[in-house]
Amino acid sequence: MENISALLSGFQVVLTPENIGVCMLGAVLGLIVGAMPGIGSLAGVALLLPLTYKFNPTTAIIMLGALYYSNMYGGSFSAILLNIPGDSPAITTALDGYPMAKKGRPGQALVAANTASFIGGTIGILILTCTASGLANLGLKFGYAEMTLVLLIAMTSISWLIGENPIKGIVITMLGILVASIGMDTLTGAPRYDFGSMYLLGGIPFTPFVIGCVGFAQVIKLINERAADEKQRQGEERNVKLSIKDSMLTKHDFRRILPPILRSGILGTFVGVLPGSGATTGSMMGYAMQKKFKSEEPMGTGAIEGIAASEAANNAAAAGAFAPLLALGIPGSGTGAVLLGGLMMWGLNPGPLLFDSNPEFCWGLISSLYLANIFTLLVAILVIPFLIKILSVPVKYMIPIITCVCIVGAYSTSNSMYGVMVMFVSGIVGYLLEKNGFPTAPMLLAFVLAPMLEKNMRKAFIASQGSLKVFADSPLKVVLLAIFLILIFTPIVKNILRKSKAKKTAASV
Amino acid sequence: MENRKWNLQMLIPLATTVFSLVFIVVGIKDFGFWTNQPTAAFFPIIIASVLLLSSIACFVQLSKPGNAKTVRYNRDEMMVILGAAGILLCTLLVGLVPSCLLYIFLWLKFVEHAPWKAIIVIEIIMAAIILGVFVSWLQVRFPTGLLGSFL
Repeated sequence: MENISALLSGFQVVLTPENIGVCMLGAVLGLIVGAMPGIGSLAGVALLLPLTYKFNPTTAIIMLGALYYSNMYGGSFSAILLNIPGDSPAITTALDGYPMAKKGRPGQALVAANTASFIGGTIGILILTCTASGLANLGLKFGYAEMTLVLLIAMTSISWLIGENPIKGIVITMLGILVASIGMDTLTGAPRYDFGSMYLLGGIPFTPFVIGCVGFAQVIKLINERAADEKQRQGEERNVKLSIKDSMLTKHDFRRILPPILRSGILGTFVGVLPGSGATTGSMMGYAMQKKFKSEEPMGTGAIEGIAASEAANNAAAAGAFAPLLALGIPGSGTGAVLLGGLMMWGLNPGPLLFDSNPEFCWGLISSLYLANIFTLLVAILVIPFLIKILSVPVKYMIPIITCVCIVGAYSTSNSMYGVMVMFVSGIVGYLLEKNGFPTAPMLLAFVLAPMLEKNMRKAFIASQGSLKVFADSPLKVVLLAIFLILIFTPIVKNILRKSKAKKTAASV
Repeated sequence: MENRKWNLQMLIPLATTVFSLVFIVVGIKDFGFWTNQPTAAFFPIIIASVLLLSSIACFVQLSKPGNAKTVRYNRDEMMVILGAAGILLCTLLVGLVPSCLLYIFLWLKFVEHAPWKAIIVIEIIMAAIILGVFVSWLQVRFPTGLLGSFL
């Protein structure tokens, strides 16, 4: 009941002309960025971050929230019509979406994806509404040591889950933390690791760093997709005409998609809450779960149930990811890390106290997700007749455009060429890392969480006068420590077991 | 004895090893680790030590035969980097906004061989975004370069 009245007060914050306008703008931009193959939600949010500088924190996060959320809708467009997922969560949508389009039902595939995104997302937002403040209350019981352990768990789990090599995950996470420690000491404000540079004294600016790592690095990678994109486009039929009327679902279609949407919506939300899993894992798990249920057509051959399961799960996961972000200050994914960085930039400290200190902000954001969900559904359906035109922008034209947006955006957030240099260098570093199998998302997460981790860890050590016992002197801490140790040792044990199994197999041959 | 072979992928753990050593040495030299309470370098030194150990482990892992995949770099990727570097250099002369628009034109015309119609449309859209959103709305004052100072 308390949550419902808080949500209603959140709607009072959101329902101003400015907030409704930016929510709609975020929804439209998110759809476009999501539909463009190869950009992705992480790069999309990073590239559009400078646009929010003009607004107050609540309005800015409403726009970014809507943008991130609608991105999940947009990813399915190119997956269904071109067989090129706009973003990684839409990979599973393409498995059934494209075959369904090939069967002559592209409009229905799009509407099924949009409907599933809407209902799945609504389930995710409802669960977020019910659990976020409870999670924050739990967070209030955490002291410095508990918070240190929770942050270590978040950083470790994202390193393990993204990429197949845990050692590379650790290297990249530690690198992110060290880069964040350049500039000033988080507790005393004393200069450190500035190497005599006036620029480094202020630290590495967050937005140019993120724009470089994900935006510019993505452009460098994108150039290799030009040829494939051209080839794909030549093979496509360009004279397909889509209309809203012909795209509507029949009652039978709706009955087919409803059960997978409900199942995947609930599953996706809980997957989204876990650090490191995010919308991609959500959609894959939703799709995998649907395979265990009966579908009218075999999965992978244009089954509408497959599209629904995948899309409902990824939107629900996107909504679920806001729970740990707002309540504990822990992002569940790279995109969440960018949103968290944005919050910090606007002077807000996400975490358990945020619901007490800035309730209008937290509930405003949650209620804006409801609004964004409705706007995005409307825009996504209205845009159907123009989709073929929108998606016909070739990748090769996007390369110089995104490069310029990166440069202009990096300059505008720092008002100096230093920001552009940071963007340029971090872009090249990000590209080299990705190319060599070092995922950059853990580095961004570590970069954002590093000041919080350092502050909590140092305060825990100051309170305990250097004793390590401070991390294991209560049952809660022991549980958190055990989870942390399990996360560290599981991949090592798995690796040893895999090697011994391989040796046994080789010996038997 | 396994035959270990040098590969380009090993440069990354090597670079992070050097990076971590710099943080450890500078931290200990300038701040120390613990003086009654954690110093400013306490946390970075711990993290740099973990980075050092994991970088060495990563280096050893990648040096084993079969563990490192062959990574190919191509000319096109370098072109994107050089293009962005070109904008940065050109900014010193003619300013940021003209450099970006010039870069878009040169890239589309000479790299992508795009038709004039596409080039004009993209140039107009980008000019509208930069001047409309960034200059007018966000009120960003972009550098005008030597040409701007001269004018």
